[in-house]
Amino acid sequence: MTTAAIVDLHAQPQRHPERQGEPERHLRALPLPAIAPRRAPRLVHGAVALTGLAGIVCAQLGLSVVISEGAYRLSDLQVQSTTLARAEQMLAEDVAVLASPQHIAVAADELGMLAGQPSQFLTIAGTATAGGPDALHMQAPALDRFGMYVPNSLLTEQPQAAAAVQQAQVEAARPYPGMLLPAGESPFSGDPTVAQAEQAGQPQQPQQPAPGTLLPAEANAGG
Amino acid sequence: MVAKRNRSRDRVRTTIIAVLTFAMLAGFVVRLADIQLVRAEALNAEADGRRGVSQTIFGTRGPIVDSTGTVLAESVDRWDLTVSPRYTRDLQPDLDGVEAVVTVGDALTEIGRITGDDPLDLQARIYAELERNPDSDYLMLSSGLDVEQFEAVQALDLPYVYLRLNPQRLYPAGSVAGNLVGFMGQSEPLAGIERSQDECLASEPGSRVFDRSADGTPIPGSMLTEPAVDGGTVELTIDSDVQYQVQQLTAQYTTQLRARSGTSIVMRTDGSIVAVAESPTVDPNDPSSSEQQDRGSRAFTAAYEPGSIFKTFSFAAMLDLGLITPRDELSVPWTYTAPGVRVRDASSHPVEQWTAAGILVNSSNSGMVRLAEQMDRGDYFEYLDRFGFGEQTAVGFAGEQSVPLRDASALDPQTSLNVLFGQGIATTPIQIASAYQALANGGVHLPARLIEGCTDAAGEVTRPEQGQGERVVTDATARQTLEVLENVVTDYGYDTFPIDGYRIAAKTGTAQMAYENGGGYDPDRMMISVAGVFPVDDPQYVVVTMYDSPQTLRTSAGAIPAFHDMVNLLIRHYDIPPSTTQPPEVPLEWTAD
Repeated sequence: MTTAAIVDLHAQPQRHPERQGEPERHLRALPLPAIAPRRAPRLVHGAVALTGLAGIVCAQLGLSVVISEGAYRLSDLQVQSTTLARAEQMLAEDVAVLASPQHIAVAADELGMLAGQPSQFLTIAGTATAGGPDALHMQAPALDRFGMYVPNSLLTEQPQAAAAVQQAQVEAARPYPGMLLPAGESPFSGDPTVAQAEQAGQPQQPQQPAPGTLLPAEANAGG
Repeated sequence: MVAKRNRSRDRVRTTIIAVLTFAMLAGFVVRLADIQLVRAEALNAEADGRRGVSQTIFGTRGPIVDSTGTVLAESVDRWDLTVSPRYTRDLQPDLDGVEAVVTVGDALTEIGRITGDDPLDLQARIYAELERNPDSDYLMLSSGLDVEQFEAVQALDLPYVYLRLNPQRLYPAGSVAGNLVGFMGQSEPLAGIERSQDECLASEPGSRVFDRSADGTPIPGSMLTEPAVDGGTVELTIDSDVQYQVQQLTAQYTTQLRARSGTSIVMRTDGSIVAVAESPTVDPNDPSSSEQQDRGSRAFTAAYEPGSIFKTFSFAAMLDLGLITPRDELSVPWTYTAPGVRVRDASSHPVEQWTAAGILVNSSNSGMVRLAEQMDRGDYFEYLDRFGFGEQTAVGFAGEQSVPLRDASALDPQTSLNVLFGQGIATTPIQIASAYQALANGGVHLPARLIEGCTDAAGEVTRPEQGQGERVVTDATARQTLEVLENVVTDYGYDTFPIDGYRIAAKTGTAQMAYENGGGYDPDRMMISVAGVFPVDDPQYVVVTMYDSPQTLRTSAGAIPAFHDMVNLLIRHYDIPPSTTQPPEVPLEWTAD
């Protein structure tokens, strides 16, 4: 009983017996709204949508391809620019070494060039020219058997300068008549061409002062 | 009954799900905070390390140029060839895209051919490194590869070889001004301008950070570049052509005189230095081939007792103080003795009837002492101070000596006489040149200058602080002193001295050299020197040349032809016209009639 009563408490409310069969209803079905009849989706819309999508995808793809291609091109050009900068640096380096005073002096010597005459000056008052300075007392060449007086180790890699230095050393070491030599060495054993040249009687230029000779000023005046 | 049980199960499930959801959410939040805040830095670094590349962009150290723009020092790219010893292996055709197997031996032979190293030596070094540490990942095989070598090695495309950029310093003119320019060590400047002007020359490295794709190409938009700032250009006042020729003359005369060393300085009247030559000297491309003591500039660092070329300043001081005139007449015996003091001339001579000018021209010590009897030594030292003695020149060369002047009142009687002719007082050659500059400049001493300016990467020029000139003696004193010194060139008895048509003032000196331990003068050492100014009618250059301990000619006569040649050279180089005025007659002797 109690259980039944409790169950009963939770039972669904029964409809009022009196209201059963009453026609009056609170909820009524409204007439259907006048919706336009749904048209079937047109093919063209789908096509447009899909094409648009494909277009966007393609455009994005294309854009990223272009950008990444640009990146490759940029990278390529940067590599090229670096390579060219390196080449430029190498050539500039060569020029700087070739333009060094030592190289110019050696090259000029090789070509048989001599220091130019000092400038002559005209005096406005008189008719005479006022000569420039006299000659230098120091007659030593820029190269001797020890190499250059003002060395430049970069020139040892320059074939022309290196050859000139070597030649100066060979010439300095070349025995001359009357030179004191170690016992048992003949003066002409070294270089047969020199011996031949000397035997052929080539002029020895006795007037030329020996390198390093101190000359009195008069001896060179006007020179 | 069933519904009730269902409902409570629903509730439990809901609670569990809620708790789980919250736990998960909390977990995510904690994780997020951990990643984004706590470990953010480490994780970012790790990510950058995996994907990102960070490169150092090396700035270029600035060049050093002379006054005509000739480059004396510049930085060039060089590369070090390093290998990873543990990854050295023979390259296989399928694996490495080579046509045939390239053995390590082949590769080393190629490298040897490019760098000039012995391939067997390279191989031995790799073996030795692997012996030391089988996991070794780094070994430097060769350094200083130039562009051609770098490209040749790169073309070999060896996976275990890495070429590391290591910019190096190049001195295209070799030892021309090597004593001034200085040189670099592994990374820091060691001597000369390289050291003293490091602030201007040094570059600031930049960096480049970017993400890279699998093949190493930077991913667009990820590049973050902080450009390097190149070093500035230091412009010197020297003329490298003159420097070369003066250096050559100095070397030739040093050889000819068999001297220990030679030093020559050419300075313009405005105090700027044209050339500082030393022999022997240093080739900054290869400093280790020179002796330690030849790697600097003795002109700035080697103080010595100057001897007779210093008499010029005593004479100028006395003239300026009005104590003497060049025509004052004296009888000069070859010695001077007073209680506790004794001064002798270089060689004995009978009592001479010399004027004050004659005393200076004949370089008489006893005569100078007699002339200076009235001069207060305090006044004299004030003159010396204004001439620039006792302090570093404005050049501030690396390692330059100052040689402070002694307290004039504290000199013993003998030294107070000796200082008149350049003994008991030490100077550097550059101080001597700088003091002669004051006489060349009408008595106004201007600070010596070696640095013209520093031009930074942006083109902004900084000129060094220029001290004001200081008047040392009056214009008349300077002119009179030079006129007296002209007679040294014409009347000193050396026909190698004068140059026809040019008015040259000079003073010779044969200085005694003290033992290095301070134990008196070394009889085997002397410094012969000539210092002078020309042309006297319009002074333009100061020339100082000196030779330490010459063997073939031990008097100042040895330095006279060198001085002549240097003046001659400057006349030729700068096309200096002959003097248009005649030197005034300055009597050197007098007769009592």
